[in-house]
Amino acid sequence: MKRLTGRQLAYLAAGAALLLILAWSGWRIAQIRHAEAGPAEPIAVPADAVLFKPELPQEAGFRKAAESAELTLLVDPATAHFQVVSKSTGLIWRSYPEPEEWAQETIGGVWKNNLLSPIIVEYANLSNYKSASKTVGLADEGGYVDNLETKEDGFSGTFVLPKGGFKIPFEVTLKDDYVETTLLEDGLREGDNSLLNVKLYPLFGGQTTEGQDGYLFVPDGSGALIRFKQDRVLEQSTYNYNIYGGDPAFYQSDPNRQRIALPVFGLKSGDRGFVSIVTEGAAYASVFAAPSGSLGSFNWIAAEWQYRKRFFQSVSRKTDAGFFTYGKERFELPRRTVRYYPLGGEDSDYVGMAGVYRSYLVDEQKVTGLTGDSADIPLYVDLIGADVRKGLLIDEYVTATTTADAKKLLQNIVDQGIRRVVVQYAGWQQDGYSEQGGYFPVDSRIGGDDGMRSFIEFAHAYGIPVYLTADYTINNNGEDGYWYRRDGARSLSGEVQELYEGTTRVSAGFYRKTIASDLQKYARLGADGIRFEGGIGSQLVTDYNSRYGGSRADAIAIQREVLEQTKTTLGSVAVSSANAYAFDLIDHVPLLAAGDSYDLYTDDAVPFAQIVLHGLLPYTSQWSNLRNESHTDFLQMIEYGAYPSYVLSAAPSDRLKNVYSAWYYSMNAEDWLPSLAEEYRKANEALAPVQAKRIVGHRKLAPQVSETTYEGGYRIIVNYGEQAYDEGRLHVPAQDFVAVTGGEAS
Amino acid sequence: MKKMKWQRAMATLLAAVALSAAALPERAAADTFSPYSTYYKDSYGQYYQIQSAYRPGDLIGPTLVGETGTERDAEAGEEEGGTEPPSDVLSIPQDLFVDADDNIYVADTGNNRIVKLSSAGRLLASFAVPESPLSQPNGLFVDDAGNMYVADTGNQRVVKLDARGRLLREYPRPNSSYLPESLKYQPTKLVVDKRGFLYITTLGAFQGLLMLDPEGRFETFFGANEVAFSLFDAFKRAVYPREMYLRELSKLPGAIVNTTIDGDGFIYTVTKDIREEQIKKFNIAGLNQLETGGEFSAGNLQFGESFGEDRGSRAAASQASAVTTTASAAAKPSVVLGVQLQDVSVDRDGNFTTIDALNGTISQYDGDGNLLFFWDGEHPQGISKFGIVDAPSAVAADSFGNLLILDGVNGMIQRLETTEFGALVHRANRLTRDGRYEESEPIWQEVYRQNAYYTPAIIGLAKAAYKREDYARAQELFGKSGTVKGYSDAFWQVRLVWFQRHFAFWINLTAALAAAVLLFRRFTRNRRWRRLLQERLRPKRKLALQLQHLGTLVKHPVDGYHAIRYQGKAGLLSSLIVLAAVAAAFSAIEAGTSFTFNRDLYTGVDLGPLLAQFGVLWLGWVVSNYLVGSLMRGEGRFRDVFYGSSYALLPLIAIGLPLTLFSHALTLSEKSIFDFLHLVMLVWTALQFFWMVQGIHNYNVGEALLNLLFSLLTMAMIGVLIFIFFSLSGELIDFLYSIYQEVAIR
Repeated sequence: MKRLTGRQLAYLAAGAALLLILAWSGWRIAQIRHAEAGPAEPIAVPADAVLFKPELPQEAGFRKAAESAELTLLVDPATAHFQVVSKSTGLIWRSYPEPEEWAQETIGGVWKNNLLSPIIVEYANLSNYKSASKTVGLADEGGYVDNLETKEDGFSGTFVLPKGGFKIPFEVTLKDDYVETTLLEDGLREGDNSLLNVKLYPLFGGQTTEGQDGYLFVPDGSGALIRFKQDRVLEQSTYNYNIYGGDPAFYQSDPNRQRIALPVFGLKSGDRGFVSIVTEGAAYASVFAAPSGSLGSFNWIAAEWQYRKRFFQSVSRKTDAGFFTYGKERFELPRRTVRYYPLGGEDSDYVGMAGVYRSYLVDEQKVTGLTGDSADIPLYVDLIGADVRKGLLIDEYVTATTTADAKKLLQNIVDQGIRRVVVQYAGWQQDGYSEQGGYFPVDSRIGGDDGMRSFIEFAHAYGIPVYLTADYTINNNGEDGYWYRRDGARSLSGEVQELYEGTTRVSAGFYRKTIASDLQKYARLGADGIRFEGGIGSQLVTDYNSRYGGSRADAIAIQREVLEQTKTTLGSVAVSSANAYAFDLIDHVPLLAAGDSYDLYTDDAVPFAQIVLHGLLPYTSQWSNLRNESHTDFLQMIEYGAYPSYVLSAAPSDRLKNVYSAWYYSMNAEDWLPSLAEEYRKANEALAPVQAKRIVGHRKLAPQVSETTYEGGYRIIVNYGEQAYDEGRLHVPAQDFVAVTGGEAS
Repeated sequence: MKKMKWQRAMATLLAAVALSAAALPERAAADTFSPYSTYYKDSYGQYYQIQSAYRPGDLIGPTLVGETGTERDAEAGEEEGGTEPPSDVLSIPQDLFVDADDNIYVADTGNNRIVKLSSAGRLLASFAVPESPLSQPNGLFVDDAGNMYVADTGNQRVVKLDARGRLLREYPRPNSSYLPESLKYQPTKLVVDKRGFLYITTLGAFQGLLMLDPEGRFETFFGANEVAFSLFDAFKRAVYPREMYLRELSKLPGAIVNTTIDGDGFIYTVTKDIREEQIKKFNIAGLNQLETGGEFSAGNLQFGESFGEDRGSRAAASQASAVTTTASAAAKPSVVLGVQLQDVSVDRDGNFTTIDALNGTISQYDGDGNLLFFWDGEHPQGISKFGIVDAPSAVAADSFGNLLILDGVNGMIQRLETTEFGALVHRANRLTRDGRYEESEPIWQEVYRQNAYYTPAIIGLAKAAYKREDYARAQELFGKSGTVKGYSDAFWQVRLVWFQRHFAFWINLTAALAAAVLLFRRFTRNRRWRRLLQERLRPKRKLALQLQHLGTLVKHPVDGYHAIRYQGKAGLLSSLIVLAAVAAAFSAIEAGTSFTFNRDLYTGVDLGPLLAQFGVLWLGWVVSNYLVGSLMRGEGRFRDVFYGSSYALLPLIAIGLPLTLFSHALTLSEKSIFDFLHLVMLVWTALQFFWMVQGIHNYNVGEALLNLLFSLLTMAMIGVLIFIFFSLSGELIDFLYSIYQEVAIR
């Protein structure tokens, strides 16, 4: 027999491989056909079902379902709509449009019916990728309410949507001062179509614009208001963003925006309003705000519950070719709950809403308040140890602050008379700030473990805690036993999520292990805590890694576990711009968002998050030395009750030019020490007396003048304008602020 | 955080393709949220994120409101001359003008009128010229007397209105034999100079601006662009038949799309669809003032920045793929220029600002065309935010230094206000441009303190230092800012001072040394020990002898190479040593030549790819020369070619190294000396190779030349084959990957 040459063998192998691929493709295609074969059984509508009619519920049909000290809950069994009546004021909050105002509603078509419906669903037939999704309410589905039963504290039932083939169980419960609506997983039925999202009682508390003072409150960044008014800008725009931020495993329509860190939204109309807290399943809810003119003339705001998310499936590595799709599996969680707290009178504004949410945090989330036993406010100093940049042949390591430098730097700050400092040391790991993975030991070129230990001891002698900054959610060097194919977070299509070339996202289950094994090393250095950057406590990623993967809810659990372990082992922990689920575990919030995402259709950015947190957790705004507007932003820091924070290095600022990560353009401590001391002194004077106090009022006195009121009547008035502000005995110089104690200018 | 680990650097080495792609910094996850990020791009194409220079201000529109309703109605009614009240919403407005009193004029194209607003955005008046109605006015200009010139596009005329909107005169198409028949007279934009001459942009007129005198007579074409004529075009003209060549389109110069005039009478033009000189600044004589660039920067001819080269195409592609649900790759437009400038505006400081129609990027330059800053924000296509205008149609600056951006799609004007940082830069740069360096220095100091990476500040400080005659400091700062000319000029001064101070000493020392050597030689000429010493120093070992053979190659190259072939005058070890020395010398030349002659030094020389490139070329030469030699009856064996080719690189050491050292003593004025020596080195190297071929293969001159030629051809062919192989296999892999994705996921 003739022997085969190498070349012939190669051809044969290639041919065989091709055949195999073809065969396998054919098999896959056959499978798909097979899956399409059996349609699900349609829902049979019983003859006695009362189909939902596209009209307002009859006011006479409402029956009392439950009662608490404050509120009464009434339900209409035919439509499952409800009313909440305040016993003290008699005000009514309806789950459907206000009848008088509905008469003027001009919107037609599907949305007119949707607005009347107690539930709006969006669904699609995923087996046919050409079909578009449908957003409908009960009326257009020929739907009805099944099994409506009142129970001790409310009622429950099931929405049936025969056309789409869905049965969606729900319940409504009345508690002391709120009513709670819940979508239940148990009993949820999907047919051929797949549920994408659901809004339950979307029109709850909705109001039209009639010249009253009113707004929709969305928790965008620190909080934003969409005011009730005529001639709104970009009238058709709605606000629809995920609580706790977008999910990088899926398609994000606008990634460059401020995250929603608090699961709260609200509506104020005249002297009434409500605030909603998304309690169970918040990670799967979006805040959906529809100001008047976008979808009907009502202003309404609701939680949109996500069951599946849009995903961009790319099919080519080089081009952008691909298509949008949805996952086959829906997000399953037992309960999706929103609480509505009716508000009346003075408390119906965003400060009142923040107060309700703060009470919720304290009473139910066990966030403990500050005691205020310290005379001075803290100064937060971030230090950058070292970073790397591209060098002649290999990367060049650039030291910015060695541990010895850090001692001198800290000494200089203390010498300015600043007694309360918190140090957060970044870029201390092996090979500096850009190196993610294999943090320990501390790089010997900035002093090593010994240098760090000695620095921490030095700081402790002044009573200054030292946090080490770390980001365990990405890895770019494969250390810690990380192998991206095994341990990386994967998207719906199974691809490892790559942030930059060579930098992949680490599965939550994997970083939990890494941190658990690193914690003792932190403890041996004497560190007081870890400041988590990147994602722990602030970003939720759905992970399709088959070994470590998990849902957003799983991610919350793991992140909380990590934070808790860190706190138990080291004593404290901090999370940059943390999400609400971390509040009870952390000791302060660096870089808390101070502003919204600059959407054209929002009117004002408000310090809602600051109002919630002041007195509970210390927080800082942006780093003072990297401000866009040196002075204006300082004034804002005072207005928002934030503490000063700097990112510093001992090296001259331009030493770190062109390094990979630490892009901060002005960090030299020498350059900033004088202004640091001055700003700290001013801020300390203003904010020290109210460290443990809550903010009870926040308003604008004039277009450029804001007033923040604390418990006990302490007020800070900030004037951003070019002219001095005078009102009675109050005098605020231009671009300055004054603090007033109990009504008198200090 | 774009990390290139050294393993990856090695991979690049192997790839041996020195890609000089400007490394883009990752968009930093800024701590302070802004809808856009502001950057500076230095003349080396490096991007630095900096503070915002402008902050989003208020919105004007879309609904326009009068000062008080009645007043407006009265005035408007009068202006309208009894026609029906105008719509108070702008409709696809196309142009914006701000007069000396900060009144804003808008060409409300869709509503066929001109709208006048106060600086606060209140509607003052609207003009539709009822006696001769406007039709789609696209541009306007207001002179100092308040007369309005309107480019009345739809009526193919320009009209002049008085301040109350009454028609003063029309400028129809001028009657002139100089006007080509083919020219369509469709005025879109215009400016009027102090003398009352009109400069009219007409749709698609590649001849330039139409210049009319105040009486409407055609004067000349002003500021025409030149045709880009490439080598390829010359080839086409020579080779193509006449008909075919005439059919070649796009051999017309770019048409001017917009124009503006500044306070000093300079006329700026904007040209779309070209890559260079999109902005020109003409003096009255029609000379472009931006051609030479700034005093210290190498004429920057490209205007309109974009973050990353292919952003525009990427955005277009992702939008396309978002629309299609099928997997077929969206057909990309064949050429997408990254930059499509739409408008330019000059502010009170003489800085000009351009906007990009494609992605809304705004770039600002000083009057000499030096970039100050540019900013853009990632945003979903078609969505505007505060500070981001997705499809801007015009830009104007008011007397406060604010920028007004006209949003043609949404019919709004966005105001951008200067930040503290932006104002500092403007003030300092103004002083520097006026030559008031001393006054500018403290301001630049402050800018530098706030941002150590901002090159204009360093240049400003350098100029001030130069003016103070602190040349060493100036040299250092110019070096730091990467300004070759300034660096060289400062060094010239430093060197002069040094010579003045040390001339006597060095000249004496040189004379003394020369005398000493002379004397020593003279007295030891006939001594025996001198001969002995020489004998002792003569190398005995083979390796040393082989290395010494380099000397022979200098004096008798052909014989020397012949000896390498036939007398074993070179060995593997010696060749490798020579190669290593050459590599070292090459590295020294690349990384050690003075900054004056080696601009690359500023961005950091990446030796890896350079060395790899060098090595691959050399190896390719050795292989192809050996192959060609063996075909052409050359006598050189592979090792001889290898040894010879190593030795032939000798000039790199012999001239390159000293020249590298010497370059540090030279300034730009001695560039010719440097260039000459550099040329000598290259020519000598080429000759060495020639002699090498002759000597090793035992050729005569003609044979050697032929061999040289064929070797180079072979090298090129090997290169092409490798390239084809890699790119084809890349395509194949991507193709298979796409098929896999399609099959596996659908």
